[in-house]
Amino acid sequence: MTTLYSNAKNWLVQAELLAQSGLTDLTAGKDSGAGYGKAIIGDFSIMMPAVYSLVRNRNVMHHETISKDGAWVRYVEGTRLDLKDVQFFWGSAAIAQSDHTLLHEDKAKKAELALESILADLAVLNIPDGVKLSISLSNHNPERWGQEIKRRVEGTHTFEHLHPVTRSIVSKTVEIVVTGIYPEGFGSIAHCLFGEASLVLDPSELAIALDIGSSTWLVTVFNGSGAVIDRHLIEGGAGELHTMIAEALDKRNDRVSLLSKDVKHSPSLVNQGIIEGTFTYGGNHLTGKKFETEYSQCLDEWWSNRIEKFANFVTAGNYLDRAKYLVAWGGGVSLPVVDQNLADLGFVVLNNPQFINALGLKLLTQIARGA
Amino acid sequence: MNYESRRITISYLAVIELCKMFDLPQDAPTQALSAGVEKLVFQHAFVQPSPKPETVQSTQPNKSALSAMVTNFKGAA
Repeated sequence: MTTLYSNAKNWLVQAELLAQSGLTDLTAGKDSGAGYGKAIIGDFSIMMPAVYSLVRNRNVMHHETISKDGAWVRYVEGTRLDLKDVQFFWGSAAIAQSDHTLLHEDKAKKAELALESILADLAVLNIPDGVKLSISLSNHNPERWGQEIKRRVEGTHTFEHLHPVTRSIVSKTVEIVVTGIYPEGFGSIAHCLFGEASLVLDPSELAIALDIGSSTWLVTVFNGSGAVIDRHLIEGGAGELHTMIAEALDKRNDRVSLLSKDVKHSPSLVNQGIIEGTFTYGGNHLTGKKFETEYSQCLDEWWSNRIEKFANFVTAGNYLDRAKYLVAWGGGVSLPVVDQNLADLGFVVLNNPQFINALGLKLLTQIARGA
Repeated sequence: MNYESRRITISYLAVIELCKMFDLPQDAPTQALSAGVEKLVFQHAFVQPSPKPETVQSTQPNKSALSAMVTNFKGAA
């Protein structure tokens, strides 16, 4: 059973449990994602913004932090000699730094920082010391980046992080084995065909998957044996929608507070308002503003534009008539209205759509280990 | 513990329900009603000590299909 960290209280309980679990072997799947990294490690799931920030002044020692969405990590020693004594922030802890890298802006970084992202997951999950981790990862281009990721991630690594409960610095050593690096969506297909078998498909039958991620819509046509027949990339995922809404807010001139001058609205605060279901920009009552109207207007444009491209692709390739299923996954499919639109079009929307790929990757790790 | 039978009263709504359960006429004699209650007690006692296994629909992964998928994928590290 996979536990989702839905709130900080739950996270602390789980972090304590995992640290004392006595586990020595963990199997995992990691979907690095563009906007958010998603991982299933053992029986736990974790999702953090894919953001990195290097600590440049290592003498300043009062910045260590940890939460369910981000962490400070110090690489002490290990296989990665180049990282010796390097400190960094990941996730929300990195967003808080003025100088940070958003991984979706630089695809090479997803490969280059693969180990850092895993160590941050392990810190937040508070894994026991001395664990052996077997992991499969996804990448947009395994042929180009597969060996590079494997070289960077595999080996023995000792790192420090703040203990989520006691808040003291703890040191952990982990041995990581990479069991596979697969293209985006490969894990999702494995999961829905052969894992929890939500789709019943003969080897010769087709299904069409739509993955709404942070930066793209990825359409994949696959058959019942899990082979990819065709794929098509449509630019502009959920992140684009957030940007459109932020820009619409920039244009609005009903200044609610004297404090807010000509500020550029931030897509990530828009996202926060959507996730929390308040459709309010900003967290305080002085500047908070509702953006329901902007949401519905922008969503309309964003959706109709892309669903048309989707339709063009699946009809031009003659896939639509042949497909037994339309299936949707990725974080964007659970957006309000989008979920309804997909259901109206007859899409099967799987549970925990943002974790499908990571779940499938973990399954592939188990298979590779002969479990 | 006093091992004697004891008299209980059940509401008319429960009587209606009981009659429906065991297909008894509405004017069934009280012995028939008490037999019904007794049967329910034993049915309950019989079911209780052996809790049903969790009926979680946990489909087992299709390992051979997954292995084939991995084998067919050439780019795996």
